[in-house]
Amino acid sequence: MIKLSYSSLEMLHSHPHTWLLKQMGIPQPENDFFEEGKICHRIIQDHVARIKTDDRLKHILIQFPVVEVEDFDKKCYFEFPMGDYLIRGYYDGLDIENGRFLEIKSGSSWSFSKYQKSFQRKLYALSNLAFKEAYLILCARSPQEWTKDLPKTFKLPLTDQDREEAKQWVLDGIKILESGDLKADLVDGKCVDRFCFWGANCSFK
Amino acid sequence: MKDPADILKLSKEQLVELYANTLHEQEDVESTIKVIKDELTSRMDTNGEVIGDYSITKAKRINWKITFDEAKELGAVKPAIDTAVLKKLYDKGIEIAHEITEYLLIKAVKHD
Repeated sequence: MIKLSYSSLEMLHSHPHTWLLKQMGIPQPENDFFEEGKICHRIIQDHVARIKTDDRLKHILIQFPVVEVEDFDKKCYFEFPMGDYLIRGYYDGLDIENGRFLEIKSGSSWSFSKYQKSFQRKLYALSNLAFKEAYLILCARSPQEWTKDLPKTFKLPLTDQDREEAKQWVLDGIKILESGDLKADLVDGKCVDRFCFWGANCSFK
Repeated sequence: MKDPADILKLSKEQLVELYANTLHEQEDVESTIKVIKDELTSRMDTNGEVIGDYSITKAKRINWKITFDEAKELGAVKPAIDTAVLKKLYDKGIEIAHEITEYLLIKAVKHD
């Protein structure tokens, strides 16, 4: 069964040539944002799970009993089948009893409005019908900035419409994959995306 | 007023009375909006949420509490057109490019 995560589906929808790069095993260049994001996630996850509270987050009272404590933590893993495919992912935080999950985003490229519209939220809503709410914590890229720019918490209801839209989005992504048309975002066979995640490693530059 | 076109039928006295009544209604509505917002704010346990068809978020505005001299020390002042000076020069007959707009001032008259 082919396994598809939110990131893979997003690649197929927005930058299909990167799916090819991934399948070819070409690595993404090392990225400071990624490492900084991991640090922010760790601090926030420890705080909401009350593993280690952080004074900079004392205004965040919401608790999530289950959080990732290691990369690819099975406690936060989900998967569900769609046809011949397995859709999978990991929650940043989980509170099944209260029907909610947590997503943490660091840096300035995310906003409440963007997350409302995002298919990541809708896909995670589809992953478990017991979910009624998504919580989002937005924070500055570096924890040093948090004393002046407090991390913020948002919550959104999860609806049947979200789930329907996610289902269609997954099916559309699968269609792209099955069509084999994975160079639609190239211009004359070349990657012209300044923000291509593969950067200098992109074989289509 | 059911039909805004009815305004054309009103006398000047009726128009002024309508203006005053509508202003009072506007003040009442604005007070109600403030009370609703304060109550919603007190009930929100997050920075933002979606309620029905609306996205409600808490926003922050910074109100600076420094003097002009303090701002100058920080390099945070900029030149601006001084309209009072322009008006004085204009009144003295100096040619300055301008456009005049007319507007209505309606104030309550104090009765002793």
